[in-house]
Amino acid sequence: MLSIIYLILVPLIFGLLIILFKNKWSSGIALAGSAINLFLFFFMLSQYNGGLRIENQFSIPWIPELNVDLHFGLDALGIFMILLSSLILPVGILASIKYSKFRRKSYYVLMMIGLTSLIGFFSAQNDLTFYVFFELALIPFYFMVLMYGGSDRKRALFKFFLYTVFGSFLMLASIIYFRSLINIGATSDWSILYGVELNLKSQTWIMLGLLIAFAIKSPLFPFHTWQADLYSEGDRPAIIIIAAVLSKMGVFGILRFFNIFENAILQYQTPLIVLSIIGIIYAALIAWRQSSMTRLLAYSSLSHMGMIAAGIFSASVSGLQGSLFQMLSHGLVIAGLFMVVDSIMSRTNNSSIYGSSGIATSQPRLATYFFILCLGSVGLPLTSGFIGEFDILLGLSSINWILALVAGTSIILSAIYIFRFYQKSMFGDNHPENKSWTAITLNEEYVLIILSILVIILGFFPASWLELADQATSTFVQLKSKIQ
Amino acid sequence: MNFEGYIHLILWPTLIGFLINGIFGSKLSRKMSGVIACIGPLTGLLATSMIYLTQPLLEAKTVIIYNWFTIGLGNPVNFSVYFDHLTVLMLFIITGVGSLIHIYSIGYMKDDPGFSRFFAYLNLFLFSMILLVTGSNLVLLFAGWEGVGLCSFLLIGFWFKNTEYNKAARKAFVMNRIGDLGFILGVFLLALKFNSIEIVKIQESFGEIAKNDPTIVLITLLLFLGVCGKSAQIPLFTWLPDAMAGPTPVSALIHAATMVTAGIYLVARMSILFNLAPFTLNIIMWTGVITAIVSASIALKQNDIKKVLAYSTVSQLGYMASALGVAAYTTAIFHVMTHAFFKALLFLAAGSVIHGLQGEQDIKNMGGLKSKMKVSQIVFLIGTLAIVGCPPFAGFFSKDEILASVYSWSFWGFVVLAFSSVFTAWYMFRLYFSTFHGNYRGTQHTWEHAHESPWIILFPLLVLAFLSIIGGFAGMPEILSHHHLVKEYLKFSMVDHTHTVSHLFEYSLWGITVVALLIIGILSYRKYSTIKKEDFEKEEDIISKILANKYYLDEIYSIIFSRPLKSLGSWFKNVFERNGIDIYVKAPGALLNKASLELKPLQSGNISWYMISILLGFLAFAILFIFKF
Repeated sequence: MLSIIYLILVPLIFGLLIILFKNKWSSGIALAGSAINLFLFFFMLSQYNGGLRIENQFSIPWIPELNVDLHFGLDALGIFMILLSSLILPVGILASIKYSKFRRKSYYVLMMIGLTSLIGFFSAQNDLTFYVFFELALIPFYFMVLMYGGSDRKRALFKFFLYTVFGSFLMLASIIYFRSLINIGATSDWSILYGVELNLKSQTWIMLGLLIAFAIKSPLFPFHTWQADLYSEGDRPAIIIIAAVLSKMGVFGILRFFNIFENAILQYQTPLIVLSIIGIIYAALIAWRQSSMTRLLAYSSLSHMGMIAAGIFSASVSGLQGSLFQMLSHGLVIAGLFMVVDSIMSRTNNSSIYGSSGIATSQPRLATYFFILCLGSVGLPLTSGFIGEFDILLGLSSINWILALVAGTSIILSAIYIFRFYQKSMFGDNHPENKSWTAITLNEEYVLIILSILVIILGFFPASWLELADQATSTFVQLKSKIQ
Repeated sequence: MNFEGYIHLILWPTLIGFLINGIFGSKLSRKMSGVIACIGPLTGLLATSMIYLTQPLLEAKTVIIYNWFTIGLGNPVNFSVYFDHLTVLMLFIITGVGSLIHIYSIGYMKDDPGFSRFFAYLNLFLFSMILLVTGSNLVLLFAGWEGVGLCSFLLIGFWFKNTEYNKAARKAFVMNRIGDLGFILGVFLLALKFNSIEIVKIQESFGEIAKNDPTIVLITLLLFLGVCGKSAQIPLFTWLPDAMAGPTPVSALIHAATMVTAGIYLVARMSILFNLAPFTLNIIMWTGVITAIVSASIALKQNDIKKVLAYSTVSQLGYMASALGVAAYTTAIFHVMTHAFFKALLFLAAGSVIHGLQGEQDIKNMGGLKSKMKVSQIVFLIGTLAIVGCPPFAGFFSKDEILASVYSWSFWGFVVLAFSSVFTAWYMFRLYFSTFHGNYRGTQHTWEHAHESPWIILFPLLVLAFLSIIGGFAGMPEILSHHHLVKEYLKFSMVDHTHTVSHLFEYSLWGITVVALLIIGILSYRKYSTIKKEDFEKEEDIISKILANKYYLDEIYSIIFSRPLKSLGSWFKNVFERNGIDIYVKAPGALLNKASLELKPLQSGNISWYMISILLGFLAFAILFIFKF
């Protein structure tokens, strides 16, 4: 069986190739690298046997004194996010091609390092590997934005940096605290760490530290104010990846550590859910009033992440399942939406939703893909967005139907802000500069076609993925039933 | 061909038509687009007829197509269809009226640049609508339910350059989604209570549930919220009149004949559930009654030909809802059927008039059109007679049945409905006479170009006119015939309460109807067949103003809901984000700034100071290693 380490190393090798070859080859090499990685991943997936096993494992000793290995492997939880990373990285690279004349080699090297660290993070099989890659994944994207972001990028990055440093500190502290509580003699992968029984008090402290770190990363309300600034000032191809994949690292972390602080989550379930729901509505209302496309998407994303968090905190079978599925779906949808925004902005140089009115007449195909992605975003049935939202709200209503009602107002609000966005930017009278806009390129079109089709296919045939999500989260619920 | 074959012939051709027209539409000729689009509904109509003919006593059947997804622990949500008599009847209405309107649209839209896009949307609409009435579980039904809402959105905003139309489209979708939230919550609660979302299975497990069980009441109320959104009942009806921004065939198909009756279908489909909640039924009845009178009164003062018809649709939906509320589900479906005939007819005839007058919709600029458009005039008259309930046209029988059923349940409900019937007669005759009789009030130019529509438009009108004349005989009251065909056909699909009224009541109701209609007709003829343009503006009293402005409901909703929410959003965006949440982000930043000022002296450039620092640092590490902290 192929070791997961290939997935981690292949991008690095291609990163080296980029350095060795001429500048004009770099985007092509990066694309080839990410494509090969995607292919390798599909190959592994085809051999994946399911169940609770961890497959394609790889580990080397790292800190022998603490019995800590660098340990990677493929499990049901990770598969979702590795799939998303491997799909979205090429999207980011394709989006950057139209700017590639202005990009140095280092940009694509960073892309490759980014892919490596994301796969490392999502396949990490113990907490310290997890932590290292959690930090590592940030660096390449930080530099991408620093080098190629908008005019106000430094301020946005500083804010982002402050938040992240704070979160990382809390996370490290929590993990050290956690490690200090358990017997370090054991070889440490998740299955053993999950087995550790902590008392409620220590669970609560660990949960608090980690949740804040994860909430900053995703972000979740109220730790989100770096997001809109970064999304609107960032290098757009990098933002596609950040919005689609990096934003899932936080909620993914909650799922990874779920078993460790499960009792604490159940203890504080109501406040956690209420906070998430406040975030959903708060972000949706702001998204309604935004006139900047990037900021609007940032807040819509915040709203959706709140929904995912609420599903996780519901600690119910359908809630957890739905959240994991929604992480995949939202990643695809938001990547597509940012791709559309990038296509528009690279032509109009205008981030306002009013800056491209009437573009549907001259670019009907762009308008069509955009519309399909919007449908995914508002969770219309038979698109991928529906399944996750349905399961999450079902999970919430199994706790209390009022929670589902309040959280469910997001299906109204999302329709308001997304279709406002869509109609203002696509419809209406032709913008005076309409004539000078070039047609969308094949690169852009391929990406949008693939993402739109995925949104629809996952909406029609989500069953096998939900089964996988079920396997990924079934351990939590087993534990839960043990507790109750 | 077997039963399953027919099912596939009903389901998929519309979806395929949508895909072909949607993807390759720009490369097809208009003729091809139109023909491809018509194949879907015609095939569906044929297959439905085959099912009806080959299996007159169709046993209810569920056919699983594939496993869509699974909720919770092993509770499958299948993509599966359920066929019983109610399904077949609804399919007849959908594919029948749908086919006619597709044919009509080929003529009506022939000069529109978005021709193939229009037919793609129409086909997608029919697919969703078919899904809605065939879905065997509530989630698939919901998929169709949201799908028709989406198509309605697309078609209202079909001419997307117009910002007003876009607004109307968004309003329709959002209002529908408010209802949809109720619907989906109802589905959740049903799933949690009965551990199934299959309609049949849910209904089988009702045995031991008491009437007005609180959960059931809650579920039915939530589902009814969905009905209010889709079937335009108070308080969610204001989107429907605005939806007239779409092309006229859309108004006929979606916003009169089919989609808006989805809510009625839902309640009828879940009749066993609703029977368990008399509390909800009562609310449904009164909602329907009030919706009927409110919208009928608004229609009295509208001057846009389509707006009048739109409010009359809302009003008729109110009739249907009140029939549901008295558990006369079959009666409601009967009215769905007759209404589909005569309302589609009225809209399409109005469309023919609009077409002939190059887009004119204001009745102030019409009049005397009977000499120019003979066929349109006659079919419009037939539609008018049907909707006002003149015997023996289609609307008479179904409306009479609703009035009788409501009377046997609630006297005051009956009185209000009777009043709205008077209003209905008044605004319909006003519309008819001021459009077709008297003198033309528009410009000379349009009069010279006014023309009767081509045959492709007139043919569907004639078919619908025929159905509007004879459709009512499918449900004759007891005093005329012992065979109420609709009731007999639907008796296994839903459980009605029995409604008996005395023969005396029935006869006197008829007598009063005929006399009242005669009086109203004559009064209306005298007033509106000679009306001048200025006379329309004369009515300046306060009541007219309130009615013309739809009771200011849009303004009230805006003040209560959308404006406060918008301001809240803006406040969050402009104030709270910056000065609220950001404060604790700025604090560490400011602290850092201050600290670095304090620490500045350390960077003195004094080499010996650096040396000492390095040494101290090493020392500290050494101590740490030695004592193994």
